[in-house]
Amino acid sequence: MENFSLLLEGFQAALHPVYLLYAFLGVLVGTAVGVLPGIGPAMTVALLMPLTFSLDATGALIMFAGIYYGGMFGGSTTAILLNTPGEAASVMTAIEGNKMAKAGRGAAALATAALGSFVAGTIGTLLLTMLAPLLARWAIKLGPHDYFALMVLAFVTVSAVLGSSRARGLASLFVGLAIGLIGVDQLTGQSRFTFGLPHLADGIDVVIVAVALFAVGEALWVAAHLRRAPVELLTVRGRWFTRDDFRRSWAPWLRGTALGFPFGTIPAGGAEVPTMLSYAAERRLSKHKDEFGKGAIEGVAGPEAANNAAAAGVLVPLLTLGIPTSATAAILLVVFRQYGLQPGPALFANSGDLVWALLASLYIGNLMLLVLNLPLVGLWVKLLQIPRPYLYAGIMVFAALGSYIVNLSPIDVGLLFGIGLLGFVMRRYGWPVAPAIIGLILGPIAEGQLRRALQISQFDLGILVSSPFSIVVYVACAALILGPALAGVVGRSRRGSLTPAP
Amino acid sequence: MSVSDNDTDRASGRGEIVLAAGLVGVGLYMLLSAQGIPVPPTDHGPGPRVFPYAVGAGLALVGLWLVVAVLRGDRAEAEAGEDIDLDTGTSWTTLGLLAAILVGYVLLLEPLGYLLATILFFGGVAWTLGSRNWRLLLLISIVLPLVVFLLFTRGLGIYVPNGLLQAVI
Repeated sequence: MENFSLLLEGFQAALHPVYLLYAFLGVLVGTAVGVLPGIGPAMTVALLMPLTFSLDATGALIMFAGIYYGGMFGGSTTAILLNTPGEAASVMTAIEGNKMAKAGRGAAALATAALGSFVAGTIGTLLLTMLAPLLARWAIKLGPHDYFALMVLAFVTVSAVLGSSRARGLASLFVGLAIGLIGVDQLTGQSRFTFGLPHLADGIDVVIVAVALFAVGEALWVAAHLRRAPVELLTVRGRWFTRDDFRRSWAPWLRGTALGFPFGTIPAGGAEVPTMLSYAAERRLSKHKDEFGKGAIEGVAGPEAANNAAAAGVLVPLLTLGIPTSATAAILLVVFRQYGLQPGPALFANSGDLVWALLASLYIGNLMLLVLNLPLVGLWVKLLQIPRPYLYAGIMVFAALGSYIVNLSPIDVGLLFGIGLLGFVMRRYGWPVAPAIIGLILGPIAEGQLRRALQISQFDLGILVSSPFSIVVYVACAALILGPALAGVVGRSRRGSLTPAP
Repeated sequence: MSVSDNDTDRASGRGEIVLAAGLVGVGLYMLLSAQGIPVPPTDHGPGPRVFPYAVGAGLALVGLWLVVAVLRGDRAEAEAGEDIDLDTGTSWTTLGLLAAILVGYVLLLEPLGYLLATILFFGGVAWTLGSRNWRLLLLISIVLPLVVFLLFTRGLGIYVPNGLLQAVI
């Protein structure tokens, strides 16, 4: 019950009027930016980072908690009202949600998404509150070799397991790792790959690379293929939420939460996998199987809950181990580090006040989302109608501003555009961007842990597998790499059982 | 608008092979130049060269793997999205103009100052992307950068150099 009183203290801090205002602004702006087409949660967080430059650490983190949940929700609104989803985690929502909107049940689809997000977000945050301190206490015992193993696992899952092409995932990962090496080595102070340029001594700011790959790359990619025909935007019609809708939604919400949260906590790329699993489960369990593919409410309720529960689950390893399991979490890690905070077991001990205020603000943000979203849905629809030239010009302006005000150097803006071009090329050939972000952010940390481990063991590589924990993690890595290959051999004979309904 | 040049290039895989070969090149460069990273005698760990070697080797190997995979016909789907129409091919005109605007922005940012440069930048990008309503374009190109500038300098108290207009606003 010690946690409970700590959480209450957290609420006391987070309920301070100024922090409430930050949470409110975070949710509002996060949803607004998340709704904009082409902007996923990771890009939302990266783009909005400059807004918090003048806030204190607690205020900034509270605002980002709101931005994070808001960005998630915004994405699902876009998926339901526009024809195609902007991010992988919304693909499943779009399948049924868009059909529902076409059939004049858009309001019900948005309502089940909002309520499901709230249910899943609240349960997820509750689980996070209970689990995180326990895990942090346990994680103190982990040595550098254990951390290194965990990071290898994160690299393997994000690049080789998720996505359609392993070679392209790994290519993206190594691009990120290589960019992360630029700058002065943290342990010895030697310059690496700086080409003698003093500007590169501190490395390329992670924010610049993230915004470049996500925002600038996306804007250029869209610009080169801009749909000239007006987009088909669906209106919010129909009755909001009937008793029948609720009867059909509550079980998928809970099942989606049960799937989403655990997947968020392990390095499996966040919400992509559990939303797919949830969709498959709901299709199998539904009493209205005939409606699937034509707008079944279960197919919106389940994946949306899974999406948001995963968003809460992702925060468990981020806060307790300092390991991001999705691109969005990787950017949140950058936010922490900008305030000199290093997420990990020590965070709970050293900055307990801040962590509990952050957790409390997650509950508050969740509630605000529910209260805000349904009444403001008309506003979100308006945002979807912004003429695309202004939308993407605005994204570019904001991306440039964010990288400019870090050092007030036009060189940074040049780097932003250069790396943005790389993001464009990656999209063109279907290389995923997330592995590069994870590699960029986790690479230097992984290097530090590896070198520390080898320093302790005096170059004995055996230390890397010296603890049961690290062995388990490496076995998991091997299973993840070899598993799909084996399953492919088995599954070849009976393919097609999991493809979505036509 | 040039049509479908994109498709032939993507189908032939030529562009992606160049990109993958570029990874091999960068990987080899890293392997070679990592030898030049000085190792201080005080360092008792594996030193600052190990990771560059590993990443360089990884880049080269993955690049090779991709070259072979693409040659054998492996293609990934280009990224889709709400506003993306992949059927009409890449508009290189748009991309070229945008690249020129980006370079111009970087060069003019300091001499002109943030506000003026950003007004030109926003207007240029929006025009390139097809905004032809002159009155609206002019209005938004001035108002939006101005609001952003005031929000950050006055609202959030962040210093943003303003070049020519420094004395005015």
